[in-house]
Amino acid sequence: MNHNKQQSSDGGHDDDAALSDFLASLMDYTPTIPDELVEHFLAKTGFQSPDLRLTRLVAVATQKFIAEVASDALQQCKARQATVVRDKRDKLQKDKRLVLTMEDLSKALHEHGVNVKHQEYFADSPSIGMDPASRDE
Amino acid sequence: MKAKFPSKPKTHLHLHQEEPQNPSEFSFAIARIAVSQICQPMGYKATQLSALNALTVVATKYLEAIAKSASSLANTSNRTQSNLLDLTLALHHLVTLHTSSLFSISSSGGGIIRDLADFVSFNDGIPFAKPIPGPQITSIPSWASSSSSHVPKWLPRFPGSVISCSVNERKCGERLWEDLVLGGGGTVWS
Repeated sequence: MNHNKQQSSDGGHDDDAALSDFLASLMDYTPTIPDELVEHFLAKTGFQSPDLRLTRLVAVATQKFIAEVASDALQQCKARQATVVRDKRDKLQKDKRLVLTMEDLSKALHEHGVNVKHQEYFADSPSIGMDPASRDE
Repeated sequence: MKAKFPSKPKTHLHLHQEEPQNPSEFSFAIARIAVSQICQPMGYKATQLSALNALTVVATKYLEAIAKSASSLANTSNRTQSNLLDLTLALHHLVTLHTSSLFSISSSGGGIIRDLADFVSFNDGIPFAKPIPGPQITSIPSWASSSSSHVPKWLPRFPGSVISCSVNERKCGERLWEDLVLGGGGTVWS
């Protein structure tokens, strides 16, 4: 415990310097989520701050989260493509075609604590999908 | 339904959807463009529309969750404006599921801020594709006249003059009771 305290007091200076450098670098970095959109959502939830760096920080945090989810979904997509056995004809087409699907997205989001369920299909009558023998004519 | 990502950052998304009708749809449309711009450099060539919409909803809710917990943390400390510490604690509350929470929490906020700093230094910024039109502020009529001197000049005028014009003419010749008594004179109403 004492050792940790000493470390933190010595490293406190470096941490502060690193933090102020990071906040300064935020002004150079342009987050993909535009500032106006972030400010709209912040105002909607009651977050008040005159400092632009904090809005940029929120934008960067959201961007990082979305990037992580998207990369996890990409891993799922690639893993699924690797396990599917294909002919040589299909291989070139399917390797290039990385599509973001609800299936991969729901698996990726599940690891981050968000549960997303998607309708597999929409049926317009109760007898669709049943055996033709048991269906009422 | 699939949508193709634009090959260059400034071309349109080929979506056959209607124009946004209200402010929430407008902000959702902008957020969807931003999310698709984040996903595109990963290597995706196309996306299902429902997947993109779901990811956009998650992004907006994440943003709102950060802001809500940061503002409530500021309010519990008798402040109306949030500062960096509130934001850091709010991020800690949200990110407890990630592996980065295993880092030690030092005085400067520890693992979360360091993660973000690494993310910023590692990635180039992707600016938003299109400029967003600012809000159009129409002129608001104010109490400029001195007749109502008890009302401060900076307040907007009562909307009464606008409403009475549209309400005066109703079906079956009905009229507002106030108009009859104050302005109607001797008209008999039944």
